[in-house]
Amino acid sequence: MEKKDDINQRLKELSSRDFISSIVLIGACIFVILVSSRMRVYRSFSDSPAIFPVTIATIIGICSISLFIDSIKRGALQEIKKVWAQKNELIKTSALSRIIIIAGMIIIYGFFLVRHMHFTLATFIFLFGIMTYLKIFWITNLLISAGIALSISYVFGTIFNIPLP
Amino acid sequence: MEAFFEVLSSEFTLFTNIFSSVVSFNIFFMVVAGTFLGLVVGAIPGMTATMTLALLIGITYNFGFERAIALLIGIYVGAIYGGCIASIMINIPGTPSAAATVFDGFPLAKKGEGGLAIGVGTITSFYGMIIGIICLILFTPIVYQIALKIGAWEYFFLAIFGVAICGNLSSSEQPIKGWIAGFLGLFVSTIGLDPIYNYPRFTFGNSQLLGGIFIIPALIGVFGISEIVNVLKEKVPYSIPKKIGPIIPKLKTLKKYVTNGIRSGLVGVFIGAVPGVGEATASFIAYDMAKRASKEPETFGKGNYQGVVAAETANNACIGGALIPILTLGIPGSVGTALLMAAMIVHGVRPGPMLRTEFPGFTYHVFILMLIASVAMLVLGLLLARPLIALLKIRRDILMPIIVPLCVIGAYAANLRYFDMRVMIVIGILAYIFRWLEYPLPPLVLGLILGDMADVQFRRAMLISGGDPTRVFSRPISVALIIIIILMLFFSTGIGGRISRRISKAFSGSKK
Repeated sequence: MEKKDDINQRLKELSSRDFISSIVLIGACIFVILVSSRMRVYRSFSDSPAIFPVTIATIIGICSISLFIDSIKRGALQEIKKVWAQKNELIKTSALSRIIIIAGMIIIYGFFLVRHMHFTLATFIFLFGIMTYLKIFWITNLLISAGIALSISYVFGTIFNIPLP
Repeated sequence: MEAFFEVLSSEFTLFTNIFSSVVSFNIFFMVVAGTFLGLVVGAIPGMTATMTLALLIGITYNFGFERAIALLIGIYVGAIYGGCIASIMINIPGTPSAAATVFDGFPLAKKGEGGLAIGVGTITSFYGMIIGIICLILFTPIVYQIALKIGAWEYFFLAIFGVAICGNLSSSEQPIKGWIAGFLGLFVSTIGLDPIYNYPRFTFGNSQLLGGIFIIPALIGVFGISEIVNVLKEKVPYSIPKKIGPIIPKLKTLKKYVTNGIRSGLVGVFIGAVPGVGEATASFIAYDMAKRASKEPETFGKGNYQGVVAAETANNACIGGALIPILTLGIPGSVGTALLMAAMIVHGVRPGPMLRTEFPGFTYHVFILMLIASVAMLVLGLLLARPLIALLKIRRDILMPIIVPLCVIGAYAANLRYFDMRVMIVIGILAYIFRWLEYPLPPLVLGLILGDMADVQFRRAMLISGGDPTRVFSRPISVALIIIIILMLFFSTGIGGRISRRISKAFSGSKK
């Protein structure tokens, strides 16, 4: 179980993220309320299409304001300055670059490869690419990528008769 | 009396009919195969029950309802149990529900008693399942009777209660983030044509959005893509203790765990029945109660079998409990059952108070499937413990990329739309950002699933009460729910939290 000091330290470190996310959420809530206010009212506002989103956006807005105030109390502004000063080191961390590259590969696969190529070929290219990045030995990588791409297509497309993209 | 026996006899006839239809080779095979698959995915860290369920809802779309639900129930039961293997052997919970098993499971494995800990975990998981099934049989008719009497306002507040309590418990240090996540889920469900006037909301001229955010791609994004990115972001090395020891415990040893098992099972059922809470919370609460009740609490966390018993019984008993609000009210008790509910909806079965009228015998159907899955879990768990431990050697950096194409098929298969694939990826990346910001994902999913119901019931209630929201105060169940929600929110925030801490401090002081 975490000790109280550890929890406080973690909450302090989180304050900068909470600060930014609360601002984004407050902005989003204002946007939702503005868009909802332009929605058509049929009989009365109480049963209009806008009432539920407006209610929800108001609740999220109130929670976000509370989170915003709380993050400032936990020292969000100092934490942001600290993070900003270390930004170059943070950008270079392997975890961040890994996340961006992996997410990028998934986007390329889902948005482009599958759309413009045969599913099996697209899957092979994706698996080979991502496992090369993850430093899997190339022969193992080639065999796994080809084997998995073919098996998935055969099992789902032919045996289970599921339409493939 | 005669009427009672008449009802009993008709229910028995219904049960036998359902039993004969369920116990066909096809369905039996599906449940056992699902349980096996669940054991495998549960045992592999990073592959969770929710991820697998989300993936397979789309893929089983062509299977037909009975076979699909049999497979999914098997997977759910198997995966919740399977998580204990990784928890015990490598100190990493295979699934979040097995997080409390780590405390005593891993110290036992380090002592060379990992096999026995898995054996005890398997048998007590079976215990938990049986307690859950018994409670499901006993309490479903009672809750169903209550469900028939409640109206639009109550359903709306039940949905809000589910989202709020789920938010509270899944982010105990910052419950406000849990509520934000839950209400965001409710908001996302409003995208598309509104269910009363068919007015397009937040579509911004995109015709693909008129049908709304389809639940399957959203679930696969939240539990599949975000989990893959999360697991692959860093390498977590782990080693498996070489000595495993015997698996099957002696009967004499098991007798010591009966009281703890029953208590933890009942805790699991109760927590499961509370909308939106789930297995992980159930196992932590049961673990804590077992520790408090123990004569040697100092041994907990150092390899006490009672810790494994409490956590494993509670998380499996939670499944039965979590199915009670689904089958009666249409409100999921946990994220796993929320996914089962999504699968039912996709196949045209709308859980809730009308379920017994529209699909008579469906509740029995679920009981029987759970019973088969429980027996399969016990047998496969004990027989396959050693091969399942060997599965922990699979490299996650090879396994995780393979799941991406399965996510793509799962998202595409239900509607055959490329748009759904894109929605899955976008939601998956947003869900990962949410994880990084430490917003819990279970309330988001619950909000997404309950959003439609909450929206319709809220507006229906407003229509019935002529636009006067104060009429809600004439309804006792609604008032009770409002008071519970307000108290829960109040005691989770700054001032309320300070008051509750002072009260508990005063109580603990007076005890001393």
